[in-house]
Amino acid sequence: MEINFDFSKIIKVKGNGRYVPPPAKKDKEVADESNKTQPDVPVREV
Amino acid sequence: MVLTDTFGNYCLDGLNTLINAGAGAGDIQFATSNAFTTILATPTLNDPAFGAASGKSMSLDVDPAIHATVAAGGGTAAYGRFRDSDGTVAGGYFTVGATGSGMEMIFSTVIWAESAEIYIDSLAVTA
Repeated sequence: MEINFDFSKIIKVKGNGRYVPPPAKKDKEVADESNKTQPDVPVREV
Repeated sequence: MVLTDTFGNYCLDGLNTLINAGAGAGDIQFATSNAFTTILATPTLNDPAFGAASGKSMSLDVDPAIHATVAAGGGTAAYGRFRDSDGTVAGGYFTVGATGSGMEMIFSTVIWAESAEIYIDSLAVTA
């Protein structure tokens, strides 16, 4: 007589989990081009 | 072979003993394959991990909450396994899948992004 004892068929796991996405990355602040200070252009005296 | 409650509980309590064997609490490794070469998250369990088996079933202690941050790179979770605090694998591995997949451990999604948090809300092992 042979009895097969396969624990992989006997032991069962049943579980439930939760996935929480990672926090959103902050957008890089984009400099407002219109408010950008332009460097002074030297005026050449003629 | 159909197990008696006594023997089934004995087997389950034995698994719990293996998970709790080290000096500290055991854990669960979640990986992309059953080779466990890419580990996605490793939540630490409470100690002891499970309550005593009864009726050929034991439930994971999830209070305090069991959770972990997904490792760099992220990936698709497909398998999980128990370990003791020394990293010795206890029992074997189980399947992980998304809702409706029929796998043993279910999450709403198995595509895990780096720095996401995964929680184990409930887990029972039966014999």
